Amino acid sequence: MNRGSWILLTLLLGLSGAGGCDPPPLSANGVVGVFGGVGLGDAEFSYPRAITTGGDGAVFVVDKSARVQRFGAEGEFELSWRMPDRQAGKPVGLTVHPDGRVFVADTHYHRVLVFDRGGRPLGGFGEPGDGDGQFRLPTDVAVDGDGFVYVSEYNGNDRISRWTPDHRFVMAIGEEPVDGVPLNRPAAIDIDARQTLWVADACNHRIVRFSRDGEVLAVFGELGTEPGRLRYPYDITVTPDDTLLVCEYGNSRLQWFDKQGRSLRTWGTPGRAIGQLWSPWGATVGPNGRIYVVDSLNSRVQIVREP
Amino acid sequence: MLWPGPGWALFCLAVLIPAVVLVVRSVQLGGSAGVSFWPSVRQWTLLGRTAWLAACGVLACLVLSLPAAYVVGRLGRTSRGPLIGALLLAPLLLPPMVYAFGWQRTGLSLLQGRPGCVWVWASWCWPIPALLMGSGWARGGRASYAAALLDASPPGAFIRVVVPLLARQAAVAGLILLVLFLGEYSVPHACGLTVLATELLGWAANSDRPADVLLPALPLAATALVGLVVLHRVWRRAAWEESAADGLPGPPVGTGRLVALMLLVDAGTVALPIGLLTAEAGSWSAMAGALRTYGGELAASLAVSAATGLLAVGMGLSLVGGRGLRGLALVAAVLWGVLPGALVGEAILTAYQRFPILYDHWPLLVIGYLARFAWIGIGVAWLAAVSLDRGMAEQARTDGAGEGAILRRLALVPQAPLLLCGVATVAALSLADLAVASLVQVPSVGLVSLKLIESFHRFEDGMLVSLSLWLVAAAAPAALLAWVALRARRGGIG
Repeated sequence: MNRGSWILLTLLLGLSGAGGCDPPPLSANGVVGVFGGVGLGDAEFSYPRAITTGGDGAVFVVDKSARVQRFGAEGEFELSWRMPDRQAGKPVGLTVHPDGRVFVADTHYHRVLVFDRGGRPLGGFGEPGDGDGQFRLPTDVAVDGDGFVYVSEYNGNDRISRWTPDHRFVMAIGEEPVDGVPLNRPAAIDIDARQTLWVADACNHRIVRFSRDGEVLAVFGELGTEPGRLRYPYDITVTPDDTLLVCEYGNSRLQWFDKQGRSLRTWGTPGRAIGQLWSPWGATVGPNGRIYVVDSLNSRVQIVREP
Repeated sequence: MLWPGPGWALFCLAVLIPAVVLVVRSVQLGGSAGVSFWPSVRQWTLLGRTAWLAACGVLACLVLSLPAAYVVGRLGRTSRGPLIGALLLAPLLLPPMVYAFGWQRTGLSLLQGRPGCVWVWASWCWPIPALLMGSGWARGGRASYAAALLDASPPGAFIRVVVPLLARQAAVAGLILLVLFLGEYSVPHACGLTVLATELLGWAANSDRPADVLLPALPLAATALVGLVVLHRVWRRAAWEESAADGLPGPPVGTGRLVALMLLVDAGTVALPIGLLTAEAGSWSAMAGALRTYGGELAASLAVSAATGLLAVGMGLSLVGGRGLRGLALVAAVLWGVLPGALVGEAILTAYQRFPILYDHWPLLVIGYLARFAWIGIGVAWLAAVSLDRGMAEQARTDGAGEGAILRRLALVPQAPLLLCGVATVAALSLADLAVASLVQVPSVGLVSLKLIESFHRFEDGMLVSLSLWLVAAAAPAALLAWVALRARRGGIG
């Protein structure tokens, strides 16, 4: 290489180094905490994909190493356990029952597993198949005020099934087309104070509301990037102030809606910096009112003060 | 004068710096607990299974390539050669996972799992042995073929007599395919299989220590390097019997029938799976829907790929225009290109994570693709440079022209179709690449190849089919340019 080449190369590297800047302070964009990082150790994540909080403020995160990790409200690691079977695939959804049990949608094993908050297995339900009481690929679990359990699934069986508190199948919801369009990967469900179901119909880029008996009550959302539109909503949470918090995997942001489907605000832009998101899979609201976002491709959880 | 500086700068960015930083950081940081220099039992098992799968793919590919090798041998040096060349290149340009998705539409159990992976690899890569064996036959073995025709039909004579004579060419092709299949993970992934390259990707994604990827990758890397060394030795020892005659003995076979045979092979291996996908797409509205959803990603991916193509060929031109070390650059680029994508991706991330202007923006993607396909750019530029008419070059030197001007005007300008073909080929391969793209990502640019895999995981069949067809459409210009370039080299244009 001649001298000109070395000069060019040095300039290139120097410029690239000079372009860097210090990360923004932790309070940037309402972020009050960040925990995680790439890895397989405690408090590290391998592509985290689901998050939920318990009534005591504990935060549970499941990732692609099939670990469920429990954290305190400030992100301090407490304990973890692994799913008993993980060769075929890893879970993508979980929820905490009001009595503290943790329900995990064990996606590639076509079942829901139940653990206590310490990770001790307590059983489960479901088997592979298309029929009543069977699952293909369960994605999320929710529990209503009467203890009935709802499980969303996809891959040909795109629907929600309702189960009694003692895990007997009751009925399937959403098997008929909604507004002429069948559900297409219902990725997440949550239940509001009126005991109605809110479903993130991910591949249709919309939100659907069902009664507990399966009646369609509302539908909103269409593909897009502007506020008010959605792109692959992967999670939905009913917030304490009765709004809907939607985590958009395709737009790398959070978006709040009222129950009439009007967009209230958005948060997050694609990026690696604190206050930015990269293909987030889930978000939840803790008892402390803070939002916990699974920032999946950044292998971390960000704690956000609601904007 | 072609300035070698930019070429070396790009080469350093894509190959040299990441390779050096990977090794240095691996030594500095060490591996996580449980990661050691000696592969674990599980890694050996996975390597064995991967090697067995790759070997089956090689065998299937060699068998499938025989009809096309026959056509190449008969027509390669005739006026139909450019068309044959384009028909050979086309299958290689299409994303291999698209083949897998297409063949899965048949619903045949024989085309699922391991058999499906072997078949997809064969239907994707048969042009490589076809070209090598056909070219080898066009240069030698004619006397034996002529003798065999006394009591056998042309295809029979080819199979019984010529194919055994092409053992070296077949061995060379087999080695190339083995190295390719060992590091390839998109087809096994699409077929639901886990191979060592898949696991490497997982390890890379789960750790911020480069050694956690480098050490498990060593068996694969060593296999690839040994394969290339053997390939080089076999190639150099191959007895190429140059024949004065352009034609081959035997009864005249209509070129139309041979072209039809070639088209049949292409139809059976390429057009059929693409056709199945097209049939499932059903309508233009499905394709339009994919554009609505991922139009931004497709445009960004096309831009990044096109930039990569231009830079790869530009780097090649810059390097071959200079003196010294260009052969070494080509060898290094080939070695870097055949290493597992997870290893190369890890090297790039490690090298540039402290430079946000690269790490957080699209140039990182270009560097990643350049690392993978630099050898094509250098090779194409080299082909263009060696096409220089030596007599005219001497005359030009006598008249006082500089080397750069000679190269530009007597080699590069006439070879513009070849260079454009090289740009389009690198762009098409970059667009469909998963090997490096799975690791080397930036938040602001969504790569369409990754969106395709996301659709696969979501069982979003309509989107999967539509995106696949868009990728096929993006690869088509490269095949057309190959035909134009080959015709131009034969003097078929102007």
